[in-house]
Amino acid sequence: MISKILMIEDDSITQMLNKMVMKNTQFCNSVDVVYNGNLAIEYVENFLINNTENSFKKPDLILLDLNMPVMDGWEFLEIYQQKYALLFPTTKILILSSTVNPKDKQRADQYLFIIGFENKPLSYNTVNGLKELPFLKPFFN
Amino acid sequence: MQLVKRFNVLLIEDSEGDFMLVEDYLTEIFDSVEITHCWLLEEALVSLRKNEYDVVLLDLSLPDSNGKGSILEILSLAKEAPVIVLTGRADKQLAIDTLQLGVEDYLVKDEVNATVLQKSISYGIERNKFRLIISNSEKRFRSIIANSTDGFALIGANGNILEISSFGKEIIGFNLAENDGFFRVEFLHPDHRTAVISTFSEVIKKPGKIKLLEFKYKIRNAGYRWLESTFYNLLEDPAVKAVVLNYRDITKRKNEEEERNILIEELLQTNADLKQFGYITSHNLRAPVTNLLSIVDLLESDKISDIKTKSLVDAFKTASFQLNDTLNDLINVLVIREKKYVALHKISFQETVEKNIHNLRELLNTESISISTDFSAAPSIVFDPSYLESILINLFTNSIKFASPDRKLQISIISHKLGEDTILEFTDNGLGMNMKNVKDRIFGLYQRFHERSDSKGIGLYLIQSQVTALGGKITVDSEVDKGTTFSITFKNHQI
Repeated sequence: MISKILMIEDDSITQMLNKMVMKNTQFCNSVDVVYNGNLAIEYVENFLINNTENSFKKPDLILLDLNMPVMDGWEFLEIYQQKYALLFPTTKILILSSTVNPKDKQRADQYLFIIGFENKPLSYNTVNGLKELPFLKPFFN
Repeated sequence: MQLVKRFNVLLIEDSEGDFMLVEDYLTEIFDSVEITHCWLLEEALVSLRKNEYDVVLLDLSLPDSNGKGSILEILSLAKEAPVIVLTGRADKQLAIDTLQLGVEDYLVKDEVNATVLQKSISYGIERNKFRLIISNSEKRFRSIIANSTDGFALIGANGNILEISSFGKEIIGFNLAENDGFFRVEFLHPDHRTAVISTFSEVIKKPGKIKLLEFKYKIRNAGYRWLESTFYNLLEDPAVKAVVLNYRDITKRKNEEEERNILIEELLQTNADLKQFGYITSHNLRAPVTNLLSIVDLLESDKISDIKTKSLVDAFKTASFQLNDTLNDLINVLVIREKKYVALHKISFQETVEKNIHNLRELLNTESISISTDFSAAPSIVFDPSYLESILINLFTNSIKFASPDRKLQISIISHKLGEDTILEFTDNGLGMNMKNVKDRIFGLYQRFHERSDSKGIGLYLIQSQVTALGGKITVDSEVDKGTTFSITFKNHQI
């Protein structure tokens, strides 16, 4: 099981459904939720400050929606790549969006730390597929 | 050499002795010669007006001659006949000067004999012929240039105008005083000065070099106009010694081009905006729809004990699926429009159809439907597998939706080759359509031809989009209550 997931998602129904599916499939131990990219940056900053005290565990996986208010997923990805990606070498990102534009997938492929691009909300099928991904597989042995 | 033709000579000579001498020579030279003798210039002018001569021999020292003026008069009346002057030693310099006026030759009387005279006359006649040919050809050439709606100008290496055609003047509003005999840099549009100057200096560096350039030039009373001109370096051509400009006013064409470009840009923008709008609305619709689907998925309706509630929840599930299907169709239409996301693979008709029948097994109840296939003539195509699947699903569901209630539905699917192309024919024996009514609209978006609630009017539009996205085409033939045949032509793609 994955120990810690950060979900960046503005829609509360999607949040609830994702959580429900992840719980039922025993996908992860704990989920932190933030409502947009801006709050996600705050979360990451906060983590770096508190890291010395080792007070909470860093996320293994970030679930990122693309279309969000204040700061969208793309903006978050840019900032994350520039400032944080190197500090979190073991953390990967999964795009979870309802975009229908094929260009979004191509754009996401350019980030090395992105391990997948899925439709939101998570379904049992999707989660079962994710468990087979090379990066995630070790969590489920 | 004896000249055979009867030869007409006008001999203008006031000295009896000289006349007789020349007359002797002439009769010696020509077999048949007619000599008209004029004593005075006055008479000669009268004769020249009345008759045509082969040659005019003119004594320079006539009593009524006034020198060059008289010679010019004779020359103009002599038309095509060469004029040869006869002169005494004393007048030799005058004789030489007359050559510049157009006189063919001069002979010093003391030195004349039959041979000299014959030579002079025959050379004169031959030379004159050439001169006429050249002058006619030049006239023709000039008339082409003068009547061409293109402008022509010969300009020197420093930009001064050596010659300019009348249309050429008109096009650039040429005014000698204002233009000062030069193409003026300050009349060029500031944006184009550098380009024109550098082109011109590039051209004059290399003999024979030709360049075409479009630029704006300020025309008197008309502001800037677009000109298109060739710059042709013939500076080293001894006959031209100029840069030849051949130019025309292309303002109208340029304006139309510009309008067209603006229009294209606007269309592209609108198109991009619409596409973006399509993606955004689809995305915004899709988010709640996928949530609905997920909720439906997580709802365990078996656990609901109240029958009424359970049936409502089931209906809610069905409606969610329908909503999702419609939305996916619309998104497909959007994505198909962007051809670059097409994936080409070699696909087997048999396998795809079998997979389809399997997926549609609930719909394709074998008891009420019989399906026959024959792909032996063309077993496979290179196409996008998801497109072919979607095409077949749409064709199957269409056939089922529009099956006749009076007979068992029969579907036949066959493929064959037509040249390089592969044709897939999908035939049913269903309700059919009146082709007169549907002809042009059948593959349009939201066109429905049967009063059925589950008909969305998108299936055939989708099929057509998928087929044409890969260069193919789809046609339909149908008869009411007999059935329908869809015929799809697949282009031969390489992988």
